[in-house]
Amino acid sequence: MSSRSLVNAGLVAVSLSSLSFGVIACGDEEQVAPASGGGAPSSASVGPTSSAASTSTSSGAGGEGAGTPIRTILQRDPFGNVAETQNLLWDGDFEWESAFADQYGWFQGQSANLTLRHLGPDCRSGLKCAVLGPDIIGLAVSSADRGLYVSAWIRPSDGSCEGFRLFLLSEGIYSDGIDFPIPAAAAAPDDAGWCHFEATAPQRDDKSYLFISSTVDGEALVDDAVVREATDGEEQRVEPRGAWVPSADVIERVDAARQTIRRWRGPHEGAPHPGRDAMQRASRGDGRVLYEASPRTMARGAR
Amino acid sequence: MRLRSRALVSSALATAALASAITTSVAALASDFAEDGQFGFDAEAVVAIGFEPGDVPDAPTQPVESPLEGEEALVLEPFGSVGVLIELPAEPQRIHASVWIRGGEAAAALSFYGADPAMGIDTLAQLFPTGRMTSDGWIELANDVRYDADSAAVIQVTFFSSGGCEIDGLEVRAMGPLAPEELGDADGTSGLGASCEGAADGSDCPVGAACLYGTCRDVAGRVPPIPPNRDEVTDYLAARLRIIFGPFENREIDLPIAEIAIERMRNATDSWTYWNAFMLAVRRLHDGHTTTNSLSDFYLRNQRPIALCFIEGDGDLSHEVAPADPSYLDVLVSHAGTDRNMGLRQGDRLVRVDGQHPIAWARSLIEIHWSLSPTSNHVTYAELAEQLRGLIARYAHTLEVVRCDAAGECGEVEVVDLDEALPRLPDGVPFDGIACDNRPLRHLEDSPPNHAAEAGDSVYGGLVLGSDPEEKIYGLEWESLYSGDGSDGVGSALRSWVDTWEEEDAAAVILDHRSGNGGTLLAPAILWDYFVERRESDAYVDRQRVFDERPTLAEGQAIFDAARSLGLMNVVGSTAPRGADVKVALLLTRDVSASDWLPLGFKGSPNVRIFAPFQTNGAFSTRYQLSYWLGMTYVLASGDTFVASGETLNGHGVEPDIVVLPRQSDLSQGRDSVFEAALAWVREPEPERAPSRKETPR
Repeated sequence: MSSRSLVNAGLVAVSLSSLSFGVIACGDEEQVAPASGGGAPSSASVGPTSSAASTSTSSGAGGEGAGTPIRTILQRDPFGNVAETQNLLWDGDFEWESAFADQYGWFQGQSANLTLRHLGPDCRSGLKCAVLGPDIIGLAVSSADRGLYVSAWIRPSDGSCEGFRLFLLSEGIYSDGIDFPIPAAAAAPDDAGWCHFEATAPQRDDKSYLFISSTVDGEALVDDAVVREATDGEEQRVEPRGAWVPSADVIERVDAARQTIRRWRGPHEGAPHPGRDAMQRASRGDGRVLYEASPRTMARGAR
Repeated sequence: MRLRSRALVSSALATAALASAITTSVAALASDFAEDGQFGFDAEAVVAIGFEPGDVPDAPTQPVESPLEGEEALVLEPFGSVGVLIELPAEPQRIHASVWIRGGEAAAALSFYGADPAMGIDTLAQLFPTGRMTSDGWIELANDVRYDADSAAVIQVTFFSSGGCEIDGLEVRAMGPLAPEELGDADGTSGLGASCEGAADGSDCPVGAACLYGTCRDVAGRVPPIPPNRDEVTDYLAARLRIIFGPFENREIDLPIAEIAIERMRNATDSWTYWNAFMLAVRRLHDGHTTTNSLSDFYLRNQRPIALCFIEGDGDLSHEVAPADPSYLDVLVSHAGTDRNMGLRQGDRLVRVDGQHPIAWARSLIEIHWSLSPTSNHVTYAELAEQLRGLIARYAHTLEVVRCDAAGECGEVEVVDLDEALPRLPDGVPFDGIACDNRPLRHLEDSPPNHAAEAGDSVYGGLVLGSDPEEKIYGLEWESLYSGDGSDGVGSALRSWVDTWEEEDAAAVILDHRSGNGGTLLAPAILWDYFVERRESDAYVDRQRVFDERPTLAEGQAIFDAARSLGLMNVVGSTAPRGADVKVALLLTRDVSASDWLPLGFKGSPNVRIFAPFQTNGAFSTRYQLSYWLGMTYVLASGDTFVASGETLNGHGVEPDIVVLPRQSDLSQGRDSVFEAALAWVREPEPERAPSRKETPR
């Protein structure tokens, strides 16, 4: 069913090549690893969650006689983009992700949890985001009544939005959905280096999964993904797409994603977990090294 | 490097309206940043640790690029754990603790060990992200914490990171004395650190405290502050339940009850009430896969271990002195260790806990005990019975028991004061512990005498003790059904025993799975393939649409047929199974998930009988875990299982073929009622005709 539905999607799908993203220079801000200082705050980007983030740059930083500050301070909502209260993705902003989960709301590669994750200001909203190496699959449900508005943000490492393939996969029992492509909303990343992918998929009864794939080398961040029932205005944006034939590579990867989804269907629990085991050992004191803070670190009142 | 005298600029943050709004729920900022971005400790901090050389001698600190302050930071390797002992003012008070991490998630907690540190942690508080971070990757974790005088004896700040991280800028700031209601009355009858008489008495403890081990302990420090955008967060979390949670019957019955708890979040005035309400809502979904837990479940040891295991049964010896409850089965001592047993022995009866039937009392703890074991069905409580001893240890004050001797003579109902009968046990002091597995006796030569499996995937097998080898009656005792590929986990052990039964021409096998922890369907398939003739059993279907509710039978049949056409059918057994002529007795008591499916696949096979006191859990789904910094973890089932009739299974367990309750009269004589019934059946020369295969499992 996987290849069939993908090809069906292709017949009505957008020509991704026509999006012709420009390659932009994103500089040091594009690094996936935490900035080593001096990087511009990524939360200054615009978008649906920008209102949930604020940046404190010292007024003295650009002022007379002031040097470049060694860092800026940002404020994010630690629960991420909760403004999308009806997000049909189980954890679209990755804030409830844990390395301890043996089954989470995102799969990566053949794992039922993320295998690559990132924490810090480079994420777009909240504190946590996913790292694209292996493809990721977000678990969601569909709507019986309305189309599905889909939005996701990707921060590439090479400044180009061209190398990503996003689909709202249809994998359910009704066999009524197509794997709907989610194109980039703009031709280039925004000032903070984020590519926005956005579309409204037709109503479907089949369960939905947000499939996000990279066809280029290098890691990219994924954050603030939303699947929700479309508003009236958004539903009007559902339109026939131009012809697009997915590449054999994309078909193969979607098939692999479908296999991962099917592999994890049904009960799965009790697998050994090195993280949990380590945590349990640590909680017993095994392997936890105990140190005594020097009295000089305590104020007089404490001593 | 000490920066306490550095001029701080907090106004910059305060000027950002939203940032201000977000930070208002957290205590006023303590440590802060100067104009040039340099971090500085609060001048009034009572603890300020920059992890510079000498700050924490011998700790794994090292120079890092762009440290938060100074030159060095504490560096945790993957799966690393470090504890730092600090001192705080002895007076009971409220503090604000904060630390900065970078590069990976860390669980940061303050552990208060109390007046007798050997007892373990009295009070645990976790630091959660405030949302404040720096452009060079530092993320602030913080929380407001309160402690009583006893708790301040030894304080350890503990860090654990699964992926490794850097840690810097640990600070504790005094926030003032506790409020009068937190300190308690002059006579010490309430307030943090004051004695209390069990969880039923917990209302006497201050808001955000619970009665643990007979003392009011703070639990508010285990959760983050109420988010400033509470309405959005509440709506978002409420929607998680409605969107993700899948079992249809539990949605119909339990989701409305869960949503009442959500309403508490909208009006809560303290952080514990707010977050506990969400976790309560999850637990109220009443599903075997749907659970909650917190960091305290890892960190807090049981200070009052009890070497007793309880099981539901028939207290036939003691109904004259303690009549049976109309709603609940009797609770009996299944087996006991040699000490820390309050003088109770196998077959004694636990009549009441703090004045209530033990199961009713345990159910009431759903309000405060995050790791309470759930069931999907609405009529059985094996999970709670098995969990009773741990709950009693933490939350109970008095027990009412009936002791019976081997001759079947029972005494009157006797009141036991836990504080007197079972003092708390210092960590490291050995005692004769015993594992609870719902098996009053083990029946194999290699079975562990203390009922504690060597590992989670241990499988014990062999000829059944007390049988004649010529009878060729084999037994299998195991808990896990996890196998990722059919060979790992319990896979190879199950295959090995199947081969043994085949080679030895076993006449009967008693599968003792009375503690079924679940796993995957690959493990039960090994047993089904050997014993069961091939048939279509069921179809698990993931939740499809946001407003899906329980389908009609006709709709369910259509879903079942669609699943069949898509190859989603769970087909059990094999064509001409080699073990079809082997009599199989499957013994069950407490189970979940794949351990529900195990009897489902066996049900109706002519050579199989299921022996159990009641139906199984009914957790025919799978679950997904969502965790906020390991401090608030919730797990939701998402999906349900259909059978050919169109019915959904989740919420209904598999009924036993032979209902057997453990009897007090058997237990008091060291006999295992359920096992003996199974053994008697496999010894019958002519098996009875099994129930029709078309019979549904409910």
